[in-house]
Amino acid sequence: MYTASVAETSGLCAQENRNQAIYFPRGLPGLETYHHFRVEALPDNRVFSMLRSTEEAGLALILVDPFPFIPGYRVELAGSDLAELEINGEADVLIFTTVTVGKERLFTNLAAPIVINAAGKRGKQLVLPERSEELRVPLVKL
Amino acid sequence: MLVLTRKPGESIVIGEDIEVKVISVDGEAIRLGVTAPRKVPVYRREIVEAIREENLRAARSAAKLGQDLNRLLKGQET
Repeated sequence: MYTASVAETSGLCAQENRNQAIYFPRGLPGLETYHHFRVEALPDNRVFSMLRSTEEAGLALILVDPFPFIPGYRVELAGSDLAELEINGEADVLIFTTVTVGKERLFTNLAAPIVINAAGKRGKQLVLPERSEELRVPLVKL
Repeated sequence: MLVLTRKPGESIVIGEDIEVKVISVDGEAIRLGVTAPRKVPVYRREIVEAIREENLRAARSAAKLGQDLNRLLKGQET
């Protein structure tokens, strides 16, 4: 088993190769027909970013680095995840969660983190059954 | 679909390394025990549906905000 530890592996630490699309072999649940996305940084914002489809420019999800917001949040990758994502080392791993915007708050989905191999350009949305009640966790007030 | 009748304590085997056992039956609630290799994800159907909905909601959020997004997210860092 491989445990991605918190700060070192999260966020946009891998700046290189940003322009090359990340391949999601299984797509994302609900968006299964899209397989190529790019992580776009937002200007002057180190916490939020966008996962934008390279196949459909209008399709994007807001991402957040969950670790600064959610103490104790852990994402464990099984050996099969490492193999599927072709992960060779912890330094290549980026972990994000998706964000929804409510009237007064931002929410994030801790049950389904998006794991990206920044070096190998492969991605996957995991399902964490133990977090199944945490699909819409308040993140910050607007 | 293959339909099998099982009693509590009995199980079915799927392939070589997956076993689903009926632990107990209490009215409409059936407790199942699943033994499977770690690489085989096992979860309730509802969670997959819920994640699907949440992803679509996230995509709608981003699309709706468009250019306002940067302004909204700025200053929301911890």
